[in-house]
Amino acid sequence: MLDQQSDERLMSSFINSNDINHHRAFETLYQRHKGPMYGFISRSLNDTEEANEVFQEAWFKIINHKDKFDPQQKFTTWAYTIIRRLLIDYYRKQPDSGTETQLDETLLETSADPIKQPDNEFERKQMTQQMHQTINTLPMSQRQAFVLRHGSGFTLPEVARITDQPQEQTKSQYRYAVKKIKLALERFK
Amino acid sequence: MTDSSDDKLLTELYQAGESKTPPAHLDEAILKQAKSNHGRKTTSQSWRPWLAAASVVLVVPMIWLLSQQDQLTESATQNLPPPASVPTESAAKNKASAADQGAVDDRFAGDMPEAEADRQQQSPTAAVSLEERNSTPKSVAIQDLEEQLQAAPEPPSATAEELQDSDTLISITGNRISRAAVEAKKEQLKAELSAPKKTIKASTMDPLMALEYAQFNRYLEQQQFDQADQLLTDMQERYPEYDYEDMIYRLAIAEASTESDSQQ
Repeated sequence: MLDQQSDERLMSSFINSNDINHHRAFETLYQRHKGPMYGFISRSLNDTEEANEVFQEAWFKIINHKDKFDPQQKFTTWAYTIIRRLLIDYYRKQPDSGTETQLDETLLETSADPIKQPDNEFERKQMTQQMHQTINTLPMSQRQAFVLRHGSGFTLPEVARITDQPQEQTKSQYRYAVKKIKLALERFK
Repeated sequence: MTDSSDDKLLTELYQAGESKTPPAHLDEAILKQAKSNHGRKTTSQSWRPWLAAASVVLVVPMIWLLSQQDQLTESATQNLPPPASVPTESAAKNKASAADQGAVDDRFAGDMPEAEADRQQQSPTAAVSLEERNSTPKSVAIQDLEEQLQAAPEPPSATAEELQDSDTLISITGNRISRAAVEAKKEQLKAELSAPKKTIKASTMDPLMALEYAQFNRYLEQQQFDQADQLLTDMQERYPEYDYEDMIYRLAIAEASTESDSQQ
């Protein structure tokens, strides 16, 4: 029954302390989003310990500030905005923070063929491995745009809202990320 | 193959390799936190009663203080005597202050010897401190002002409006002073300060002052510093137009050297 409910409905049940499904609503919400959120944080940090810390802090903030959630708002946008702010705090503490690589304008000019469907399961695993290796080499903004789009299922306008960037900039970052991944997967043709 | 099929394949490939899940202990901690947070008010909500209580604690005494102040001002206004008369606290103090007030007025009318006698009667053993002696010698007017302020009884508090039209003033120490006396002292001070000080020389000295000067030197020789000090104070009052810096310096040196000799 609860599994069928939207994130926002579950969140409303969690906020309402008189609701008998109060805690189960949260559990359902958590089970639904913990994987994508943890993946996004892990991809953003590349450090398991730090990822665990940020993940826990993010959920604690969601729990402790549940009254600030606006039911008119999408839960995931609100939750990922909290995560992004925590990640910004984390980057600021790092000595080499702010080393964002410049976009290579010529990259977008090069044409990349459509991705070939894997012939078998072995090739699919190889392609998956290659993709994740490439994602780890992407600049942070491109990586986050790609992971939010394909890992958490956000549209690009939603990604722009979460990352607090202009839509055009977000689209550009996403296109760079996809182009690089496609180029990396070309060897499987 | 279209972009949408690429998009779908990218999602499939990404999610196939994305098997990362948080550790079990994190799941437990987060679910426990959610459970313990059940029914708990947020931080801002939990502070609300305390903030309300704190504001009451602060505001109530302030209102009470303000009301008390209003009452005090009102009672002071009602109890304020006519401005010309000097309020008293005790009979003895009243007598002294009244006499002093009269004496001050008389003195500034030009009767200086009387004023001196009056002052000596009040504090016959008064000695000028070393700090005072090292500074420019005090004029008669300054000393008279100090004495008057010390002797005057404490007046009741009066508002500025009440005092504006009266012929009395409230000094910074809260004492009531006659406006006429203050004006007379101001004039005298101006005259004294504008006049150049004379150097103490045998040729320029008054015969009586010359005798006192000789006596001062004898006191120094005989190490009778208290007497020398008293004589110096008297001379400063009687002959304010002279510069006593040299005498003050000699007295201080003599006292210091005697003290150091006695310590050795």
